[in-house]
Amino acid sequence: MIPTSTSFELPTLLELALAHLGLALQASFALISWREGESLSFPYTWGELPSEVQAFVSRGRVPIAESALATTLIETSSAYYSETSYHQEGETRLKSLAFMVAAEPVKTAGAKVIAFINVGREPRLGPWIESERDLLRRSATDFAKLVEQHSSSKSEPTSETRLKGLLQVSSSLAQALTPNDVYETVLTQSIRVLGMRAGAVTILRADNHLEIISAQGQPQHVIEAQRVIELTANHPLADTVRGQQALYFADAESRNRRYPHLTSLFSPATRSSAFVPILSEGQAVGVLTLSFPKRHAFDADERAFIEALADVCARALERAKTFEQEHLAKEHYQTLFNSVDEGFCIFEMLLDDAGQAYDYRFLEVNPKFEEHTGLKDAIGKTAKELVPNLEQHWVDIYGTIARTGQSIRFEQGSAAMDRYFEVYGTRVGGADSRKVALLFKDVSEKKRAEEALQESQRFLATVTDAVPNLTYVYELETRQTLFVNNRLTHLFGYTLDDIGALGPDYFTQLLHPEDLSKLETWRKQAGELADGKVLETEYRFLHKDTSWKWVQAKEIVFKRHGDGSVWQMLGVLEDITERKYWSEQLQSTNARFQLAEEAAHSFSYEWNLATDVVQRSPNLQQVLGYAPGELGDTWEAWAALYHPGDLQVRSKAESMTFLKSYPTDTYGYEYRARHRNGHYLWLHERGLLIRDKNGEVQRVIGQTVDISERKQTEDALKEADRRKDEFLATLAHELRNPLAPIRMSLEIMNLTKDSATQQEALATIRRQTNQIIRLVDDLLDVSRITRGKIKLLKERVVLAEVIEMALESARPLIAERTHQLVVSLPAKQIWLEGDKTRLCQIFLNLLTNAAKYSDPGSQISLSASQQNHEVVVRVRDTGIGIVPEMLPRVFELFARIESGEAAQREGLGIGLHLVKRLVEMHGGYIEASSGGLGGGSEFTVHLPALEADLQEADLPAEHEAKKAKVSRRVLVVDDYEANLKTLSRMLRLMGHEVKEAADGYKALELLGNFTPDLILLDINMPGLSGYEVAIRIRENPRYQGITLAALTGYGTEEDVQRANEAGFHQHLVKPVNIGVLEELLRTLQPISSPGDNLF
Amino acid sequence: MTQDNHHPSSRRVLIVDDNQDGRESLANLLRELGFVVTTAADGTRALSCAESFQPDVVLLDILMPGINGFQVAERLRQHPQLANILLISMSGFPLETDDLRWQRSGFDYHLLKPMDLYVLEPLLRSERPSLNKKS
Repeated sequence: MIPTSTSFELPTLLELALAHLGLALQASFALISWREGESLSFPYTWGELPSEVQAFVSRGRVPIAESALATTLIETSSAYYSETSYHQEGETRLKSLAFMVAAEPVKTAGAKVIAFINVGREPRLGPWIESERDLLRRSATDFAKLVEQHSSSKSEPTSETRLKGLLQVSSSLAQALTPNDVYETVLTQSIRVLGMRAGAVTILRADNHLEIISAQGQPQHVIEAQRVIELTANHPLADTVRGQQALYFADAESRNRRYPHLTSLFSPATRSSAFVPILSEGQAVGVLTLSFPKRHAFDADERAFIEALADVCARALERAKTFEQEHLAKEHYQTLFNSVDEGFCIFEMLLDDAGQAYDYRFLEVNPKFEEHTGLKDAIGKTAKELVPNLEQHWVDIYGTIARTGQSIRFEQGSAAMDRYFEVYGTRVGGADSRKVALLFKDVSEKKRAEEALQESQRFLATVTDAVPNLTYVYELETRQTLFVNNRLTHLFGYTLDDIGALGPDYFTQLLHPEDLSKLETWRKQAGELADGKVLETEYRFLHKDTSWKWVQAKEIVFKRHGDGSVWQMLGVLEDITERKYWSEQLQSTNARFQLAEEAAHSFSYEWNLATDVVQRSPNLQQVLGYAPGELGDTWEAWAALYHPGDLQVRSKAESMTFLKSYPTDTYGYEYRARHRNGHYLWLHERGLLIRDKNGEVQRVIGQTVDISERKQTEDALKEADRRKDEFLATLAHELRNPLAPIRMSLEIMNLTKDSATQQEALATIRRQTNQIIRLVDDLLDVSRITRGKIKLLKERVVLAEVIEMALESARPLIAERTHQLVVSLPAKQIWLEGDKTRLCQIFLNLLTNAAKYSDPGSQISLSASQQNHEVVVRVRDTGIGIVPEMLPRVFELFARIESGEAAQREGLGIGLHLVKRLVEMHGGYIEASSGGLGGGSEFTVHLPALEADLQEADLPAEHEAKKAKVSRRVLVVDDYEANLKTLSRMLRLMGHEVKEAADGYKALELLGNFTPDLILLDINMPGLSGYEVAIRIRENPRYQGITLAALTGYGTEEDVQRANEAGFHQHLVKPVNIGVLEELLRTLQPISSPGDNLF
Repeated sequence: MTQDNHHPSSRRVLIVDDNQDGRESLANLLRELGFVVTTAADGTRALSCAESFQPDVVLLDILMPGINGFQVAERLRQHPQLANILLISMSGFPLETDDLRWQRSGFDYHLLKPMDLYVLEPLLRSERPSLNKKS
């Protein structure tokens, strides 16, 4: 360190200058490389040399060729400033240095490079700035001058002690790291070197006060008296700062003259003193005060030395301040640097010749760096050394940061490192800096988790989008759908935007109004849903095309709150519109079948021969009482119900064989089957045989109908048929009975001439003929009433008269059977409205019945009364009576009162039926009662009575027409000779003039010379029919006065009407009743020539 | 027989019929034909009458109140003096071929009303067919 090869004075100056420069540039070290021929020597160094440099320097002399830097500098005669830490290709010994380096050539006036000033400092202090470069350049020039002065002219002798002291001060100051260190070092060294008594350092505070911050050799009270003074004070310290000029006082008197008010303040020990401003960047920042114990004249050299000392002090102070700030910052930085969880590093970009970044070298890394990158011992190594196949994009992006100074935050993965990073990169330093600081995190785990999540979400979305059902997650409290797959559009036509536009309650808006009520129920059920349970709901939802969609939602609990209450539901929605439609169709079809089966009282069945299962429709229950499943689905279960008398119950095998060989595809039969209650029903079964392609019967499908009612009807019809046969037999019997005496009487008349016997025979014939006629009349009446062809000739009738008529007719029979008749009529006349003849018929029938079915000598009673508006007539007998089971049927047609003895069966069974119908035609009704067999019978007739005022109305005049004998002219026309003769003879006997015609033509022919009052015309004749004859007669005005009477065997309404149309006035039923005929002839208007009808 | 037809016989006939006209007209006719005839209006009277009258032939109406034709016939057949008389039933009903009741009653003939005199008269003069066969 101590210069040896040069003279004492110059090296001292050079050393001093070097120290000055080193401090000014905040360098860590500085040295001068002295060129001696083709070698370099290093006579002056400052600071602490790095080991690499020290190794160089310690060699004494080094060939220039060994230093690429020196070679280049000599060749180019230019300076060199490294941007960052020093790195130089091609240098044998010194390739790189962790310091940034500056080198300035020291050139003579002839531009010969005689030496270099080399300075090194820490890279973190930033690149060399222009003022620093200028300082170095000027220093090089000063160095050159110093060397030239020293060699050309003798320099003034300088106190070696002083110079050495200054050098010591300077050298010591290089170690001073804090301002206090600097002050103490300056004061200590100055006092020692200059032999001064005391010294102090005063600095200017930011509040424009001066403060003595360090003092030596001064009594404490002197220091304390002026520790802090204002900048404006009249004081040598303030004046020095304000004037920025040093003040020198050679003795105490000169000082006291200048500052008399301070005399007491200064220490009496101080004789002379110097106040030197400490100048930093041209501004006084403080004062260095030096005091001497005796009078001392400060010469120019001394003043220069002291001021140089102040300057060194200022530099050291600046450096220390910077260092202290840096130290502080560095401490914070280190703390941060070491404590952050993120990785941190600073690296320098390596550029190729074209200025393109191709790699970067790590300068600093924090402890977490390795954890985040997996890279060890990174400092000093390049990225590609550490990761050979590192992706170029890393280099590119950091190159961009270094080039542009733009901070970039990004995430990037490195396949080469198999890591993913989150990075914040920023340039360190100015535009020239290639250093980049990175704060980064290895987020591979997070990224992988994210990717896994994204992947699983994508998978979920893909899966849920692929399923045909709408899938969603619903939050119960907020009523919001948190997730829904793309089926929303597919199912309902809405996009998510459509739904969004509808607002939060879109669901209720789109729900069918009738299904709104389900919502609360659903909410309740969902809130109570257990894990693993599925909640199913069906409702209608409005499609965007305004149609309603039936959907089925199946939902499970997706998430629960901490308290276990349901939070979210996961649901799947399926469009069941079509299913619903068909289900409804099916239901309605089934319902139709069901109703049809109910209506038909039937059920359907299917027998599968292969499985031997017989299925029957539920309506089996209605028909046979068996609930579904109750009967069993086997063949045997059904066969057990067969009535043993109906079907020959085959074994199942026989039954199957029978069916398989069945000739047609349909079959049908009737049989009885037992109802569940035990009674039998008639069933009709029709089935279809379903065959496979080989013609084998596979199944039998059919319908079984309950035909019990039909069977009953059939039975009733059979019964009616039987009764009809019986009736016909009875009818024959009833007709034969009166025919027998007629025939016998005829034989008698044939045999005898005795008049009395003949008369008796005739009377018998007349009676029995009347009997037959009555019988036939009854039959006709029944027929006409049944067909509604009978008309009542209603008039006002006195009940007593009608009853008297009936009694008159019934008396002969009653007398014959020796019955006793009791009649009880009210005193008051009872009126009613009705057909006199028919009313008479009613009571006559009842009386005849009573007489007929009572043993001779029985009592028959008839009573009549009026009860309110009703006429009640009772006919009672003490006869054979009616068995109870027969009572409801006594009024039926052809029903006869059966007493169990065939011999007792008599009568046609039409009388009571006729009575009932006639009563009903009069607006009344009839009842029958009996004390049972042998207990007698009572028939009660109820008829509406006429009101009193009507009853009192005038009586219909009795037409007591005089029964005068009138002779008429009559033409009888009949093709049946017997009839023709009988009728003609009868009329002649009655005293009328009669002509006969055997057919229509003869009749018309006769009319030429015979004009009758009455023509009796048979209708049914060969040739001209009666109708045709009548029409021809009516066509001829000559015959207008003739009354035409038709003779028919039928007497139906049609006959009567047709006769009227043909022009007949009257209609007589054969055989002609003589009374009717007499009445007709009696009432004929004399229409022919007025005189002709007189005898 | 033909001779009997032309010469009134003293053959005794009992006619039983509840119908007065039927009874009397038949009786009158048979009297005209020379039969000795008496009549009864019901079964009870028929039985007492038969005992006193001792008829050769009984013409019995079947349907009668009280004791009917069948019952009368059965009792007559059980009667010691009357068991072999000729019994002829008469009715408005034709006789069914399998009418067991009629067969059991012991009738010899059945005539359907109204009877034909040309059938009736020879029957009345004939002997019992079964009796003929037996003897």
